Amino acid sequence: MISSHSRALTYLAAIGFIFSWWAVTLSSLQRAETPAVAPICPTTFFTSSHPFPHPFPPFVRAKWHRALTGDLRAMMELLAEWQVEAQCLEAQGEMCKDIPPFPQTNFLRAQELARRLLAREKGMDIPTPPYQWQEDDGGTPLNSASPPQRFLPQTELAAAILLTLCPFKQIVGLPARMRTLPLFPPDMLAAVPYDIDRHYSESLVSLKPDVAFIAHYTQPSTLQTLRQQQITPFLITRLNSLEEILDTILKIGHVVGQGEKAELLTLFVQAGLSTLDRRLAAHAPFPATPQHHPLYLQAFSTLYAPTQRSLAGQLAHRLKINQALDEEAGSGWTIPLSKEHIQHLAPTWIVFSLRDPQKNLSPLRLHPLLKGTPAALTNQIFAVEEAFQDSPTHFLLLAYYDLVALILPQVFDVSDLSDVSDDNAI
Amino acid sequence: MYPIYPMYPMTMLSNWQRLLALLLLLLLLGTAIGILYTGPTEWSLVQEGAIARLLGRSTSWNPLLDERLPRLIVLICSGASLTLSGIITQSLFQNPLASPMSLGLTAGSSLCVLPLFLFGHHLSFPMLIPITAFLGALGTLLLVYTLAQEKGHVQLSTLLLTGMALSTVLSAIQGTFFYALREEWSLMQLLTEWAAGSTLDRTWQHVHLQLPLTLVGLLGCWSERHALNLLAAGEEEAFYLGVDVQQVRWRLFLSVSLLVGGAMAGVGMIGFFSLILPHFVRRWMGNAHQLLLPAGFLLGATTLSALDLTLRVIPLHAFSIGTLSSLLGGFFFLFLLTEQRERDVAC
Repeated sequence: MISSHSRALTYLAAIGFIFSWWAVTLSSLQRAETPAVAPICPTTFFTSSHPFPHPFPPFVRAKWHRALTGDLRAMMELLAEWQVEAQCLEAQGEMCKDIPPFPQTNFLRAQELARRLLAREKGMDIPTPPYQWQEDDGGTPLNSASPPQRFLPQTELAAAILLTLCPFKQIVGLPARMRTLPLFPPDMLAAVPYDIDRHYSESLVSLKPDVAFIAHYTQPSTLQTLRQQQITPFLITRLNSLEEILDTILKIGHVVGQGEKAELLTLFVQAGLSTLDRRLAAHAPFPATPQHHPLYLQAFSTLYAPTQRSLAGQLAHRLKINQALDEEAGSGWTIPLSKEHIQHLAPTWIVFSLRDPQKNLSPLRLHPLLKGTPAALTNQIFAVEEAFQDSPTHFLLLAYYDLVALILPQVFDVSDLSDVSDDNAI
Repeated sequence: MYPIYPMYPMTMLSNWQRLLALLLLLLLLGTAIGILYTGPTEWSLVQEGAIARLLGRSTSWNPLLDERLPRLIVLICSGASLTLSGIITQSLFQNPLASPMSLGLTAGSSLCVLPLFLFGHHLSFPMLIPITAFLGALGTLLLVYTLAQEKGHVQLSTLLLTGMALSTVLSAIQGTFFYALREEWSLMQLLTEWAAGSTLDRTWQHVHLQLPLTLVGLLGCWSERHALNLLAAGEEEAFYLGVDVQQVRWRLFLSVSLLVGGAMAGVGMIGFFSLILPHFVRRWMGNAHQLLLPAGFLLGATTLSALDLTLRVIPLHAFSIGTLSSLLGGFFFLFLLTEQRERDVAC
């Protein structure tokens, strides 16, 4: 039997050993520094000033955001500006030759739609097109005796589209998480008082919604409840690309009797994307040289690069970011990156998709996996708001805007912080 | 009925036991070489950089010295720690289904790490995760012991039941958080990845966090090997043979918590090793702890290293090291049980 004194000494020795090891090794590891010499790496993307003097005013994010939340006037004004800009740039010839032009007919159609909708808002007697019955993404036709009037969005996607297209009194409730996202201003969200939650199904049913927009992950018990209460479920699943999102906006628009507004919204999104591409091309190609290796990353337990299977990956691909990872993509949504992998890629510019980027970017700039990379050494690590990057809705336009704004800050008015939402994405 | 295997003194290892030990050692060496060699960077560049670093001509980050070698050490320590902690737990409780999970150590560890992810501290202070995981395991053990005490003594059955009850409570609390935050997709991804275990980007910080815990834990287990042999005959018998049962048990559980805490700090949650690998070790080496412990070290270290190398060579993105080990281990265990049953029927 060991005496209590020797037992105590043994325990103390063990504790002392462990803590001394930590004190010595962990503090010496902290002191070890990466080399102060940065690899040869240009700090700007553009090696020479572009010969075309850019005459157009900088973009204002708040206006784009307002337009996407359903402000017809903002949409109309932006479309007019973009149309003029497109014509000027196309007249230059070579500059934007690789950018597919947004057809003038589409610009004109968008203006026509905006004017019709504004006139109708003012009370003018503009005939509305007949109601178009739709099939959902499961092939089930909408089964209703008369055009539906009240809607229950079970998903954030459907809620975002409905908030943009419909009068608020037609929306019965919103997914609770919708109120935490910076997509819509709080006063717009407050106009729809109910949160969708199974415990409040009685309140929601008493408001008599006609159609519930559901997803493939909606609980079977919820579906059963909806059917029992004579609420028609409308399945939305096809959201994997820009084209599918635009089709979904049109489909939902027709279901809620706002086909023209939905068409305007899709044209607006397409025109906006084209305008951003054209502005980028008008300055210089991105990435500017083969030595530039931009990366788009997401931070979870480790760092991931989204593949083209995800919308974020498609946006990145459109900007030729993450090109070095294209061959490794496989069928997954993301590619996990080890430190060795990142060092091998030697990224010169990194953008993170983050929640609350202003708060969460600083620790990522010191992330051990990025230590020693050209991007870290030249302070070329940025962040964009995750809520827009991950939103499979028309807000994809703002997601793309945020990325292009990082590449071309000089043509974006980053001083305009009077955004629709409080969280500025950049 | 706890299976009784013949006890072999060390000098009487049979040929097949020696051969298996040699094979495992060779496999461990081969796996270690594979881990050090495998990676996206060309070997010539890796080698060049490593030599320059060792000769003091460079201070640049090198994949071999700064990622692969620390990862190998973490894998060896974690695999060995988890297997040995399972052997000790099953020996103490004399229950083949006992494991550190039964004492709630992994649940406590996991729950303590959860707030770090919730409040975003994993970005600002990434090394807090392994430290918190270890403290969670240790804290849970202390709590289990405190709750199971009765007039200054702890009964094994009470200890096991208390551990299982606490494990249930801690898992339920964690489950409550998971449900409440189910719509936070990013957080769910983070938590799922943590729960699945990972050997990605292990650094010297992980090694230095885990290694002293592993060394003290291993030493603690090894020093009680004879007491464990005596305890196999029963607590009362061991007491009359001079074993201070309460003290030995406390020291062993403390060692187990150091080993498990270190493994959680190193790789996160890895199933299978502490529950199932001990059964393989006992079939191989019998019940003598002076053979069981080194054999468990060898088997655990080799298995975890081999799994990690497999996942790197064959890119099975759907699997993490934790999920793959649990899946393979489950199938092997079923096979083992079926074979045992057939053998019993034949006898």
